[in-house]
Amino acid sequence: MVIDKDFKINLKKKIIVILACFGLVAGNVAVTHVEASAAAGAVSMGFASSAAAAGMGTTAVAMAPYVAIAVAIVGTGVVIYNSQDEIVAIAQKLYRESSSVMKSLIERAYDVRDNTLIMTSAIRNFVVSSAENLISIFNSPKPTIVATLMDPSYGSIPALYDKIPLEDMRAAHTDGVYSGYMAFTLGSKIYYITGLKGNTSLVSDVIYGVQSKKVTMKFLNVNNLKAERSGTRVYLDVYEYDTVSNTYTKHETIGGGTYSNTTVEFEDGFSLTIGVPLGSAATKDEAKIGAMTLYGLEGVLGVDDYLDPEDLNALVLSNGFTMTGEVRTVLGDYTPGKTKEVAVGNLLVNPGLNAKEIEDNLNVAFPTTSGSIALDMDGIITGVGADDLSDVMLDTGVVDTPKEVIGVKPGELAQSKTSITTAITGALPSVFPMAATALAGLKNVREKPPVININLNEIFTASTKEISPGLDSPFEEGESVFFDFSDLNKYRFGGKPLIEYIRMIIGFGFIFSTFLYIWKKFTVTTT
Amino acid sequence: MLSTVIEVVITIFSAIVGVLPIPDSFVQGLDGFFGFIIQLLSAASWIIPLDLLVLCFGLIWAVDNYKVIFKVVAWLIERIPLL
Repeated sequence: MVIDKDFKINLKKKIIVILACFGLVAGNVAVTHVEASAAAGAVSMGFASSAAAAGMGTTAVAMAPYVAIAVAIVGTGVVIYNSQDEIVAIAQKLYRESSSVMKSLIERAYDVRDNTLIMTSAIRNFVVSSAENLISIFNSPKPTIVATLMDPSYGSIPALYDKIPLEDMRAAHTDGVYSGYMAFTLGSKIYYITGLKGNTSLVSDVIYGVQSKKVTMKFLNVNNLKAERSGTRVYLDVYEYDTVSNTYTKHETIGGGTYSNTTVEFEDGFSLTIGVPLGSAATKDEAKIGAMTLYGLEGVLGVDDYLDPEDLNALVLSNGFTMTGEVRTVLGDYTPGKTKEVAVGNLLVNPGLNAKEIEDNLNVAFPTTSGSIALDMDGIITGVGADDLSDVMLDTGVVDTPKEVIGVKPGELAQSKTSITTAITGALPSVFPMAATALAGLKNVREKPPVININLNEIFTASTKEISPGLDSPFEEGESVFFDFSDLNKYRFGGKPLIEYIRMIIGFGFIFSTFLYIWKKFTVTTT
Repeated sequence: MLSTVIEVVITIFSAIVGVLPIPDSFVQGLDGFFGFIIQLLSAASWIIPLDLLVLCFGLIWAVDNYKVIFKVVAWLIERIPLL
């Protein structure tokens, strides 16, 4: 085949332009936060890109593969976003509603008694992750817990009153009966479970688990298990929340049995089971300390394990995103004034986390002082590598004696971290300290797809303040998700998730470009 | 592989730069540039197969500079003492 010179030159120009496009795409997707002013630019750029994609649609096929890829990337993003309008609208609506509740809870959680900290992680995880995961939750065929709250020490969750108008729940509070709250989604529906009623001295802890199409709620009794074992009844009211009409309808009241597992069937074979996990031989101490098992938890989840506040204060096990496997707390005989060890086994959490780094038996010692301990597992769960263990120790904040908290010996931990640091900065002389630091952060794991957030309120205010300064903004203050690139993975192409497919195409492009370059290098050309 | 390759490259580079009478400001600028590139690579790692990128660029560099590689290898072989 004879290729004329002009075509070659044009092809080179095109390739340069296409590579520049790739650079722009990579640069754009690397942006995680867009300020309001920049966001306006990004939005207009997005429209321009979509227009360009539409205009180039017919000619793209005939052009070089790179052009097709570039157009596909830009075009796909626009199409996906447009086709998700309905889901986005529902998610945003729910997020707006939920976030205001959770914000007030966070504010409240930090300025009250210490043991309220048990709620903090779950709430924070909910706030952080709900925005990121709501859209995927709605598409998930599995039930997904979006929030759990259990506040036995207060018996009231005032901030929820405004948002969850459940008369039974309020009535229960006025009677001094404990109430709990859990919300989970199944498909496009949201279920709230609340109105826990029972003996106030018995129903003080609830554990939620999700396994495939089954939600398990288990009740741990903290006080006087044996003495008041008989006659205990637990009721649950299940409400269905309609996201369109913003109304709650009562689904069913379940429970009422005496320590028997009760199951309620939902549609699509999904069921909810409640029960009491402890055997009949459980002693008071065992009951007090309890045992916790979470079955195959998936999705957005916060789990609170509330132990006796007077003895052990609070233990928080929380997980922002994904947890599979089994987590158990194993506690021996508790003697006041001595440390208590908890074994947390088989934590298999977020992608990118090496489970070996956590160790199968991560021992946690409670402090001997009367201060509360909030073992924040977030650092471990979202962190990468063993060196993050030290961060967890430091980040717990409320722990008086951090050296005793994590079962890893402090010396080993320090040595581990030092060796990692030495391996990098030691090999790199101090000539390039910034590069060494950046290199230390460069792990052999992929970054998560970025999320572009925009502040609609600021955009609105900035665009109307000159014309109509007093105009109220219809948007809430703060950033909201404009586009989450991880949503691309909900679509499959060529048998792969879309991002994987794009990676594969880009990889082929690299190989092809390299081959082409070397081929031309060794081709004798005559002028 | 990626971080190892980059580390080796920067280490070799720093060994060379360290002994040359280059102004500190220039070295600092170079340092910032390297750091920026590494952070950029890290941020783009979700969409760009970095290992392949490094492999391809390494291959292109080796083809472009094969004479240098030959000379370095020859120089290294010369260093081997005769048994």
